[in-house]
Amino acid sequence: MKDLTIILLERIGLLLVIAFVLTRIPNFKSLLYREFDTKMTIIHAIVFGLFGIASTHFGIVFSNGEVLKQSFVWSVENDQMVVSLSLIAIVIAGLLGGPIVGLGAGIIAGVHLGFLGGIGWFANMLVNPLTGLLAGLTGRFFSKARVISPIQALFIGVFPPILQMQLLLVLYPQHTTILQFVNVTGLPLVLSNSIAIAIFTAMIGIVLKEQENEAAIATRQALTIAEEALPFLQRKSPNERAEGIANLLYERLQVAAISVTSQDEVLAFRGIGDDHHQLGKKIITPLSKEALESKEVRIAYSRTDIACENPDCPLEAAIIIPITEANDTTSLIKFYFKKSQHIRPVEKVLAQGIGQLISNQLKVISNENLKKNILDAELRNLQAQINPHFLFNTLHLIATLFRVDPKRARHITIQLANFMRFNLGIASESLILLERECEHVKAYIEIIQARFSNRLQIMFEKEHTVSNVLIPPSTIQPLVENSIQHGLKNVTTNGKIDVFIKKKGDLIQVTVQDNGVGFKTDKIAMISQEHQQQHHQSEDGGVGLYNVNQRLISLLGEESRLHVENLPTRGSKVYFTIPNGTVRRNLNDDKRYDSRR
Amino acid sequence: MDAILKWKKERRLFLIWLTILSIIFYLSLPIALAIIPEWMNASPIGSITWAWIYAFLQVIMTWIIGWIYWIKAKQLDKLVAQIKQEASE
Amino acid sequence: MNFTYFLFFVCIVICTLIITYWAARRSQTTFQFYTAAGELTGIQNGMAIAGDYISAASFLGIVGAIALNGYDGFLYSLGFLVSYLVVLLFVAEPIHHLGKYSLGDVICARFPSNQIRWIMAIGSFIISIFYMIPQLVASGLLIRLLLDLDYTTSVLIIGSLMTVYVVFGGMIATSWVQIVKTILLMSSTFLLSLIVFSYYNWDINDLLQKVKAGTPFGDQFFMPGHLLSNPYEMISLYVALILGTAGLPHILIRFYTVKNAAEVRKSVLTASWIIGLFYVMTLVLGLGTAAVIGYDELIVADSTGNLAAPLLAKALGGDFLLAFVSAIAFTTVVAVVAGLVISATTAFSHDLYHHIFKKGKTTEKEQLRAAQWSAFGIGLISTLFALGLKNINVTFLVSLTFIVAASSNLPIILFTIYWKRFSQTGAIIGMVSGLVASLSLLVLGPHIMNVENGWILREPIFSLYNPGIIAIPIGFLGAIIGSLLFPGREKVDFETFYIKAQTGISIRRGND
Repeated sequence: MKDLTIILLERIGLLLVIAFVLTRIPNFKSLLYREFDTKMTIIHAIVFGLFGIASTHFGIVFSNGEVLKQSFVWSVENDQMVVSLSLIAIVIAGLLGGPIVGLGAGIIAGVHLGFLGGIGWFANMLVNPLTGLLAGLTGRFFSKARVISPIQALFIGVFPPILQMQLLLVLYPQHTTILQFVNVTGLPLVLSNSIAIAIFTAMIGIVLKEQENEAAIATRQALTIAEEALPFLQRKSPNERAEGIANLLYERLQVAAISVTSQDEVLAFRGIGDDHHQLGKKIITPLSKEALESKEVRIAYSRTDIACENPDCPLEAAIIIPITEANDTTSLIKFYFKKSQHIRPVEKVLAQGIGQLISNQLKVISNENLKKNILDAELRNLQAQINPHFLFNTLHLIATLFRVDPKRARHITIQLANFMRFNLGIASESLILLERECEHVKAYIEIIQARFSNRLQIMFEKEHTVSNVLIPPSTIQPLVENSIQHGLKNVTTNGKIDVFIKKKGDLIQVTVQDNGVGFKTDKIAMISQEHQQQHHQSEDGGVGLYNVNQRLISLLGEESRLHVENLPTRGSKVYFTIPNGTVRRNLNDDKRYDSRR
Repeated sequence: MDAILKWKKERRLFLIWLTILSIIFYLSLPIALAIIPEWMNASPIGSITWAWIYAFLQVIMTWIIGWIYWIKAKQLDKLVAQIKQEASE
Repeated sequence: MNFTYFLFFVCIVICTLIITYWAARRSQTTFQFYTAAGELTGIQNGMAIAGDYISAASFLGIVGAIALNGYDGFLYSLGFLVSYLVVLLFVAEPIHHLGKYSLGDVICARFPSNQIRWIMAIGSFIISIFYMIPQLVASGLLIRLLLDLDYTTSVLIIGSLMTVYVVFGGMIATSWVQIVKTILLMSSTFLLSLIVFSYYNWDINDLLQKVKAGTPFGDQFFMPGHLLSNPYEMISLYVALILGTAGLPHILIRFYTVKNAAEVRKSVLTASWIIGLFYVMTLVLGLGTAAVIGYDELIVADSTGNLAAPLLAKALGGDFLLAFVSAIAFTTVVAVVAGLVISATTAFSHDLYHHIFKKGKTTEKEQLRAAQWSAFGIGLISTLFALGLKNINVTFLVSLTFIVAASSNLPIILFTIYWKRFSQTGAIIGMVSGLVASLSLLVLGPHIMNVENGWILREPIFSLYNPGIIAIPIGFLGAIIGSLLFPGREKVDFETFYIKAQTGISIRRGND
């Protein structure tokens, strides 16, 4: 019996070596951690069934109470018995893949044994599927983890050979050979099988652990990259941002090349193939467009998918990651690879993670910017509330009017109070009803009109049909103020300012135009510039045009931005459009954010 | 409180009946063996005597009675849930 | 000592130790130690109960009893099985609802007092130890015969292994050991039965013929009456068996390991199914032994017939099968013994130590330590007892246990749950009278006072081997009379108590 045990262990050793080599092959490895659906189940069953068949052939033949010293099992005579090691593979199949995989693999191995023949073939044929099924059920019962621990596997592995022996006894009564067989091979089989199963389980556990470790490392990497990317993301210039990110990613990751694009062209490229993938080039890859549209990661597995025009381009595969800022894809980051096999699940997860993290960073940054702008506006309004100039001038006006036209004086006083009250209320809300802003503007206009009645004429016109519209506070008044301050500064007579609020299709257009000197060209550029170099302070302490622009864009989107023009006849025109009947939005509600840049 | 009384009554009734029937059934075996041994040893089917049949029946009856109790208990559970609700109000 | 046996033996031992280790890592709190944290499902618990219940006496003893005596042996099986109905209908759910760790909790839910705790603890203690000793003795015999070890050594091995399990694993280890053992036992018994049938080419008539041929009773083999000679014995035994299980502490505390009443019922039903099937299969094995081995050879090996199952295995499957069956038998013994130690440990450490000695003021860690120490102590005591009792007939002690349980524990439990006028004093009197009655009737009976080989060599004063039919009513009467003579002041309202017992709902009643 000792000899038999040793022989069996030797054979098993061979099997284990092959198994180990198999687990080093990436394709086989990936087999282990794929998700389990019907296709995978069938594949697993077949693979393990084949392994079971191989194990049978690695077994030995028993004849006349002795072990035949054959190298491997090729065929079995009618008076011989095969000692098959297939149970090992079947139990593993059950433990790893569940009852169905075990059953399937067992059927395959069992049928093969049936065909092989020899004494006891029926019992052999029966015990394999049965073991597979039971092993699967037991595995589930013992441990909820994906793979059972080797020790538990050891325990479980003791029983299949026992089952086999008992089945032999049940199905072949009073057969002396069987009795002999059971007594000679029973224990060696039990020992060898259970040890083999335990070792195999440990091997599989290691493979799965490796995958976990890889995922952990990848996660850590992604987080580090996101942190390091922060300073680059805070840059205002998109090109600088792109370059910084591209460099960072290229250095940190093991990819062939990195490309960062905007919505239609390449902003930065680093890595192999940078001779022809250059800045400024338009995006042509159809998958990129898909990624932009769908806001989901896309993967190009072949050169045709990448559709690079250059035939010598060494890049064969790519992962395309859309970066979203406030619900819209503003740029893409592409990971390029030389071969599509380099894209493993780890890379995909990493790409996804980085895309997510960077998008989040951008969102945070834009939120901060917005808050800064709002803060700005609030500060200025506070200043406006206590600005001495405007107040003195207006009080002086009121004092003068007292004697001449007391009714008017009273009226102006009330308008001043209204105006100041509106200024006070600006800080608390991000959007108000258009009517309120109109009252704000009208109060201002009345005061100004009273001061400069002979120099200036201001007309305010709002269509009746316009109602129930929301607008950021203090957006129209500054425009009027600006016209007075700059456009009409040096105009002494016949100055005109017109304020129109009209419907234009689905939108409302607010226009303020004057017949003053118009804007200097550089000022026009400055107002619509995304970054500002200096604070644009007006003398009356009102909110600057730049600030108005920023708030319009942040709260209502790019299409609401300020348009500044000089009129062909003298003067300037400033207008913006807002959507009609907007739903009340909250500044803190990111989900409803709808801005496009 | 109604639920409680109702439940108590149902349960008592059920248990008492079941117990009486069970006692009669089970104790009849040793008593029968004592009192009418010849009849118990008559064999209606092959070599299997009434004694053996009765013995097997006892096994099966145990399962059946258990089953009956299970079903009834489930019904009573609903009443219990009602009581629980009333108690927590 | 045969090499094969030894290897197998070691194998199974290692496997169960590993399960203990796995359980030990989770058994950190007292709650977990005592009751597996309420985690077991009904079916799992049922399997564990079956494992707890099917002791070596069942597996080995009953197969032997049937092989030797036919019908009467099967009566034992029936009694064991039917007792579960008593448990299911009357006792299982109330115990679950009323207590937490031990049987003492249940009675004290109605009569909170130290005296009750003492008496319940003593009762549990006695019953558990009495149940434990035959298991150890049986295992000692078994191992001695299979592995050729000295009786003392075998008992020591079993005793220490069992103590290790409980000290480190607590209830979880034993629950899972029971469950594993149940699976092993059922499947190997099933396969063995199949082998028996196949041995006779699936011809039942042939089997039955061979049975008759193999025993001196011949055709009379299948008739009742070979073991239990007079009807009083039969009835007495039957009644004691049916009522006994509902008084066995180590079975009853299993109802704390599940989380609600439905699971409790499931446990009992599952257990009864498993046990029922098991006993049908042991019938086959018993008959098989009679046919294959024959009466005479069996008697030669061991006069009580305890070795029937292993001998059958050897005849049908050689040393391999014999080794396997013995390993299973060994695991059986270990599992049962572990369960017993748990219940005895509970009695000591929870009821006595925590409640009485330390007046309810112990930390969880202290309790855990106490429980572990008491497990160790109990293991030690029973091992020592078993060492000195190797000639005691195993079935004697088992039936003693059932009679004691049915006459002392059961009346108390039933009356506490169902009888309004039960009183504390009545409980104590009932318990004491039951214990005294059963113990003394046994001492005065033919087991001990036997002219040929008893401890006391005289004519027995009391002639029944199974005094249950007298002792049990005495226990009940004691409780009744005690309650009527000494009615207590009820500290607990019975209506509320009854409802809590049956449903687990605690109702606060107003001023009615």
